[in-house]
Amino acid sequence: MPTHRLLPKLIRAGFGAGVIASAAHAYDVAGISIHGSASLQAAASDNHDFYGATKEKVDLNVAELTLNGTYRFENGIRVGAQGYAYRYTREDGIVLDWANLDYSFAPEFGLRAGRVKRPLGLYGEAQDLDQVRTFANLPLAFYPRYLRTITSYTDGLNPYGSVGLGSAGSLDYSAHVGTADTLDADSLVLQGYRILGNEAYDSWNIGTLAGIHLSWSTPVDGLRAVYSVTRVFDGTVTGVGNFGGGGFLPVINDNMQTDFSTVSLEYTKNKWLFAGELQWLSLDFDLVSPALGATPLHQNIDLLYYYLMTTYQATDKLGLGVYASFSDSSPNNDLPELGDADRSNTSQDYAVAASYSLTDWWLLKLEYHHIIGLDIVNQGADFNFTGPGAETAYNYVVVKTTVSF
Amino acid sequence: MKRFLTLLALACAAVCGLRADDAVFIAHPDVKAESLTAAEAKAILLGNQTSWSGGGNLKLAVLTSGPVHESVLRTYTERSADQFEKYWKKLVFTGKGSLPEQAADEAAIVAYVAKTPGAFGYVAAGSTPAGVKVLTIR
Repeated sequence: MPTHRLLPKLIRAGFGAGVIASAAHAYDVAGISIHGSASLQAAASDNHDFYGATKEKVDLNVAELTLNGTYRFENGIRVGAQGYAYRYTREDGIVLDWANLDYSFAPEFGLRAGRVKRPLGLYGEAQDLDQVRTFANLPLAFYPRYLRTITSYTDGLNPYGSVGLGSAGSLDYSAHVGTADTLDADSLVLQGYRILGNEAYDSWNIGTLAGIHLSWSTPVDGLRAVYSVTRVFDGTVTGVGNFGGGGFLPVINDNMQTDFSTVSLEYTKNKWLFAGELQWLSLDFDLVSPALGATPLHQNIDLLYYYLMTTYQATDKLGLGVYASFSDSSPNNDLPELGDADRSNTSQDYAVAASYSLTDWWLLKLEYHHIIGLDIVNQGADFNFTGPGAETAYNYVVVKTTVSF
Repeated sequence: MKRFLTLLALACAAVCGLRADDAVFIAHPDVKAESLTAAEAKAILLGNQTSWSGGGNLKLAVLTSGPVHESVLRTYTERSADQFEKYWKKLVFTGKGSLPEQAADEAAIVAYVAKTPGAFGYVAAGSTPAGVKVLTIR
């Protein structure tokens, strides 16, 4: 059976099993601590097939299944791994989400080696973890799910630690250096490029990358400031492009350097959480194609994202949240516009959400988005995107349920 | 002067409702440490310190609810019980920590700490748990 047909069945079966299994807490088998979760999401939109076949109908557009096991030896070395099976609109897969050896020499210094989660801002590492937040979806532009494959993990080394700063609080750091998976033509990112432009890409070799995440717990009780940056050094995207209407010829985006940078603030007070984040991306690459002559065409693309979020834990079971998120894929106004000049490269995403704990292991979430602008549709979310003239305001409603143990 | 400072410290502790009134930290009798700082308590509770300074794995046990649990978390980690639970879930599902032993009540936490070498937990102040070592905060 093809993967794209088998996987949803596996995930649904896993979800059913998870419902039953989750009646208990974590399992411990011969010292191996086992945890897992399963999620299903249904969504609908009024104007776009936004993340699935959601236009004017309900689509079961996201299914996720996570299972991990960890063992700690008496010498202090911890070994663990997590599998992640997912179907996200047209993309599905089963991946090793993290798998590493971990040893903490002291609170100030530890080292993980293997596949490690890559931190990005406040919630990048936890973007799959419905069980730790009110929203079903983090701000859609800031934490785009279609980029999960290239923003989620690094194969390499992860030094980390926590340093006391006396009266100035404490500083947690987590660095990473290594490589990341190569994206194929079936990935949402490259599928999106294929439809939206005159370029059709079949492979994205991410290359080597390095970064650091700094989290300062300030002297103000509940206030945390975070800075994170990841640089991808030498990516290569290959495919074909049609420049000037002369037909499709091979094209390479070579020497691709991408910087993901974020600054974030999070403040928690009693049952309230306030968060704000700013992210800027910079892509530099050389466009190489016979259609462009012998000299590579150097390209620079900047992208800007920011949001404000508030959540309130109204009762032990009920959490409420609201956010306003903004994106601009052409802050320097150097990208071509599609139709409405003000809204084709920007987005405003206003969301309200409620999360209800049916049990201590079973969550139900309801979420409503009002989105203005086509920026996050442009980026591969709508495979039936009509381009110029497309409706720039739309609504997106999500119901999601998650079990975890 | 020394007596005055001691009285002042005790008075402050009483007025501020300090941690010593709410809970005490306990460890397996074989643990060499006799005391710990508030910063060390925070590091242990948040999974940043996973071994004893004198050697050996540190095995954290926590209560699942209750006023002692709330007090310890608020005092030493600046987190509510709900935030603490989510913090640990995040660690577990991102490969950065192993969930602490979950104890439904103080008897269970004492029983776990007493039988598990390297174990660390907490109980209400004033109780006299048998088979474990009480650590002071310095």
